[in-house]
Amino acid sequence: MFKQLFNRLSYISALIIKEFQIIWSDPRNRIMILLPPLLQLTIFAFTATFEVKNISMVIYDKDNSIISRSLSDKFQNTPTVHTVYHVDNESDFKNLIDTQKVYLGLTIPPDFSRNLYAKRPATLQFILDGRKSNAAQIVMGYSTQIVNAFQYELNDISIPKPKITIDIRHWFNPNLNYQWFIIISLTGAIATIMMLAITALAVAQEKEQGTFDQIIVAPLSSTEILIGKTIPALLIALLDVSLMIGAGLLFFDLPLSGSFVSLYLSIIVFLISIAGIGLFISTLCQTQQQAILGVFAFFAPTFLLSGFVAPIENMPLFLQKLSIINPLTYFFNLMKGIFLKDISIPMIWENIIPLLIISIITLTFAGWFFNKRLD
Amino acid sequence: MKYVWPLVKKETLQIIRDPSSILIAFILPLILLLIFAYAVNLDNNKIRLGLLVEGYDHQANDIIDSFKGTEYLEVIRYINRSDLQTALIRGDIKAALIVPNDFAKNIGDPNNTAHLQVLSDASDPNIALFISSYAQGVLSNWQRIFMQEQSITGPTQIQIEPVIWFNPELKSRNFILPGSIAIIMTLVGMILTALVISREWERGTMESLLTTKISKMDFILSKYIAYYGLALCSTLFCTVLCVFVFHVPFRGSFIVYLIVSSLFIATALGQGFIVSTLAKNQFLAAITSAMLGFLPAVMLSGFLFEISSMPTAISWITYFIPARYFAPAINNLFLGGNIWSIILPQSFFLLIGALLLFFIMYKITKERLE
Amino acid sequence: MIKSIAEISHLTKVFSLGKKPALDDITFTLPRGKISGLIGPDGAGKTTLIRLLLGLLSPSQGKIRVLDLDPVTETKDLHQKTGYMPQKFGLYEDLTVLENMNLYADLNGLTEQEKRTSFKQLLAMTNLTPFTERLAGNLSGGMKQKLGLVCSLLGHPDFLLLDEPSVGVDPISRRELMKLVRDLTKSGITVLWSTSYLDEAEQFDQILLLNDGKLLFQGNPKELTNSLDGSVFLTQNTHLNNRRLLRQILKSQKPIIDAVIQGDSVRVVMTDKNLQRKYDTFLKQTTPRFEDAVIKILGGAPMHESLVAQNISVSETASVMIEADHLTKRYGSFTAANDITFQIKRGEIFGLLGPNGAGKSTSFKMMCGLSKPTSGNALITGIDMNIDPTKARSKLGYMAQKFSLFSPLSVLQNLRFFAGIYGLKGSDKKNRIDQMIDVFNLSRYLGTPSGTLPLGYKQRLALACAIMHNPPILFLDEPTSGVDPLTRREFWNHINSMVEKGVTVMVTTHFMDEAEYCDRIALIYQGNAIRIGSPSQLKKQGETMEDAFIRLICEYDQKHEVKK
Repeated sequence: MFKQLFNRLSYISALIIKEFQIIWSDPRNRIMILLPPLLQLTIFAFTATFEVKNISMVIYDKDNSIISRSLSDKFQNTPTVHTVYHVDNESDFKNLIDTQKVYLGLTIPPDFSRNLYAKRPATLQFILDGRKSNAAQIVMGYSTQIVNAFQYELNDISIPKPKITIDIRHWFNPNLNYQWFIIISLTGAIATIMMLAITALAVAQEKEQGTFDQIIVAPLSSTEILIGKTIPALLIALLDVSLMIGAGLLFFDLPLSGSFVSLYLSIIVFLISIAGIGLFISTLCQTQQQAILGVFAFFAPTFLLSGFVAPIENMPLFLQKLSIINPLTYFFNLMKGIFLKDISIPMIWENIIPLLIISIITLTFAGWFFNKRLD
Repeated sequence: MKYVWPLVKKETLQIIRDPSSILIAFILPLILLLIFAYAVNLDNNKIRLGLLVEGYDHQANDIIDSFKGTEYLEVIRYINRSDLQTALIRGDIKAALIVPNDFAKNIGDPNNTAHLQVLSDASDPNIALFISSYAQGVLSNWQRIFMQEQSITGPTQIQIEPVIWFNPELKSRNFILPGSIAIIMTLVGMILTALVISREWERGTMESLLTTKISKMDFILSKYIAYYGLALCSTLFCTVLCVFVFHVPFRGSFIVYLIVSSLFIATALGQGFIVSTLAKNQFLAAITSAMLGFLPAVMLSGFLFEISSMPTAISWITYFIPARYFAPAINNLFLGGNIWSIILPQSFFLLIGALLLFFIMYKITKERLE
Repeated sequence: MIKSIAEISHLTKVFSLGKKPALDDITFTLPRGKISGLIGPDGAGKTTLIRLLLGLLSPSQGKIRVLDLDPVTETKDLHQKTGYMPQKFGLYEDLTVLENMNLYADLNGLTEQEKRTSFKQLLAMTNLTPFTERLAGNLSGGMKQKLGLVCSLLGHPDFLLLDEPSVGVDPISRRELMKLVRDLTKSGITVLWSTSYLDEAEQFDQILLLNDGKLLFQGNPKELTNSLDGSVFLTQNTHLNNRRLLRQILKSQKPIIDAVIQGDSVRVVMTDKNLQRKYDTFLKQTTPRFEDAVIKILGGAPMHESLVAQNISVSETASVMIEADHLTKRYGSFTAANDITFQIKRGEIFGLLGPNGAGKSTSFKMMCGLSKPTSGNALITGIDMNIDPTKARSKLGYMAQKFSLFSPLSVLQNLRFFAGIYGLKGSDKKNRIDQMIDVFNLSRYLGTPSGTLPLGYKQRLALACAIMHNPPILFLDEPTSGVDPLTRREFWNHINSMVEKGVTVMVTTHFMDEAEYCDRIALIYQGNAIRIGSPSQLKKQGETMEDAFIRLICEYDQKHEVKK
């Protein structure tokens, strides 16, 4: 029994070695395996933030009093504000906003200081650019705080103030380090696309070149052929993932609060689930062009629905339900959990088991279609 | 040049006959647009916030009410700290608000400060950021109102009147959908064309064409024209969906829109043709399209992530991404109108890019077989 | 008016420095109004030469004038006057016949009026009129080539260049195509026709024989063939098995140029006309063929014995090794293979012969387990391919069409891979690989990526990979298509020696002379095995295999039309 198993392993290892030799034989393939992780780390790690820094704004101060000028200064001295333009007419004001030179416009009305002295309500008008609704909301939040603080200082000190503060603690990532989030997310994206490309396209390529027939005619079972395709893809994707994680740990101070074992266990299970999907796509495709289409048709929605671009919580309910079958969702839970949250073993299993179920289903389907394809 | 049209006719027939090109040009954009419309929603709504009240206080209650009263948050009550923490670790809640035991005691004591605690799951820093600025906002509003109520002499009152131009309801969909057209068309343009040239070589038809009277210019132009037609249909299809299905306002001129889209399509096609000419195998063509087309368009076009917030060196790289020019232009045509000082420079850069890519394509297309 | 259409002097083409030239110092002229045949094995430089003549490549050295133009500097002028049909079907498979014609008419600048007249004439000439709305991809091989010919004729060329127009075309269509082109020359068109079929070349006005980039012969094929009159013989009245006889002849060290199996006999070409007397009793004189002459020019057939069977021993004792039991394959309402039944005995070479799309490869695929039959069984040494495929497959060696090897992998890597998936291990594996390298003379190419090997070596490597694990059964799919006649002889020497050790072979082929190597042939047509028998049973007196093939198919057609 054991000897027989060992026997079959030698068949599979021949398939695996061949796959590596083919991928490695073309220097352009080698570049494509190593370049993406590097590219992602050097460029994308710095880009994906919804933070709004370096705000530029315009102030049209119609009042031009001591109070209004001190409010202007207040904005000027806020670190997130980069440039403050001062204008003295409506059309310059409008122009700066229209041309998106500024995110925010503030009009201080001529009676602003008069109203304040008279204890009448004084109104400040903020113009926000709705073309960038997300940035606008964030900037509005900043502005409200600045104005509230300003008002707080203005007020009579004799009034007893309730001294309440809010202590905000950012768990798992106290300094809101965006790079951690991005490295984890892009690791998933790159692993997915590598895995899919190697499994789906490599099979289609062999079909086009007729070598797939050679393999089918050999005394190999379909399970063995599928394993022979999965393992090389798995190892290459593991290499990419390790490069990115390694760089994260070394250069971006990414903490690893959980254990290496659970980390790699999670990664491998995730990769196998993607391999199942890739092989499934490959059984449905005859040509590489179809395979490419299949890969993109799977990758683009999966990536956009994974919670990287926008939080899953924001999605409508039926899409949130859909993320139950998205392997990337579980992968991100696991990665964030193991790197940042030190989640417990049961919690790891809670996410690994769905991945295993996805793997089993897709691999079974792949194997089934693979046999059916012979008709 | 008189041989361009027969070639265009041929390409068009091929496109019509090939179901996958229709799939790429119309079904893929439809799926992506739906995803962008529903899934990429940056209006934070219903973020689950855990609430733990250890010490009751009526002032704290006021603040809690302002957390509860918003559509952005869904407040879930917890009765002990460990449950709350577990929920936060598991990701069941994304943030927590805690009113500590000593809150009531401290608020009555003028020498002490009462603390409310907000915990956020910063493994997604975007949500953490939102929660923290939201919490600050709630507190400062509460403080302002409190002051106004307490004051006998009548407090200074500054009222904030936010006016939102271009998108009064601040719907993120209104700016995401136009921008997503830039990303979708980058992807569609590249996939449509990434195999077109290599296919002519592989099937031997290139050799037949080379021995007819056509010139290199005829050949390249015919490819551009045929696929431009398809890609433009695809763009218009997306636009119609945006305007009539998702009710994104369209304020600019349609003619200008056509011109800007055309320039952008030309750049996307150019990239695809070049990949197709250079990448000898389809595996490479696919990975290149994904790595150099799709991901940079998402990350670096400035439509999801502000370019001004990027480090300088990286913001320079964005100048090489055609979507960087198209995204703001199309965004303005939808929401802003014909704002020439934005549209003209962006169109100019797109034109330069399109011409440059066309020139590269012309240079790398061979007239002989070596 | 100049007499020659093309003048080539000292033409050399080197693709990359340091590599062997693809064409080496070639000089010839092409006469106007004739069909010139460009013959030689794949990789001899035929396509390169045609591309040079058209200005698609530029020469490294030497001079080319075509229609008194320089192909490199006056490319577009030249293309006004030439028609070209490239080797790979250079038409758009996703366009209809008429759309393809319209495209090439427009690209040749024809007016609507000219189009109408040319279309009518050309369609009538090629009998394509009923198929104008059909997609080119759905045409049969022969019709595709006719359409290609039509499209290359649309510009009214003076000079027509056809690169292997008869590849993948069944014998009937090949004859039609040849007749069409022959008619064209009567209207003054000059034709250059490249082919690797030597029987075809016999009918050209003149031939250019290329081998390994060198021009070996230019002249009239008939004269060349006739020069062998009296030195070609068939064995007769021997009780020896033809394969054993061939082996003895090859070993005999006699002054022999060539010896091949032809049905029950062996065809022998002697160096000297007078030698025949010595062997009078069993050699009967026969008419020489063009191929005999070509082999002579190429320096004679390889005379050494194959070493491949040295260590082969077939332990299978079953007398019926392969059995097709009422095999039927349907795709929807279309029946690709209908109730095909045959048995192949141990040590037999069995051939599947038939036009493209007749069901030949469907049957073949069902036999080796690449396709599941709709009904019926495929049995390998009595094991049902459907019940225990892994065990059944372990009994067979498979050599795919076009020698599908892993082209980026080196020769050694390919050998190791195939050894691996057939379960060879350790010293066994190493010995077997070394033996293959030795027998097939692969040692100088071990590190070369198999995709860049010369075709003959690709074929050797493919065979080596297929027989590595000592299979009792060998499946060969078009095993010698495109290779030169010498390599083909060597290949069959290997096969013959294995068969003598008891290996059973099933082969598909469209080479008629290859069919002569088979002990029995199944002629597959329209999904049916219309005749099964030995080559001599199929042939009537004096017929070639090709004649017999065409006759049997026509008879079948007639019979079925009568029924309808």
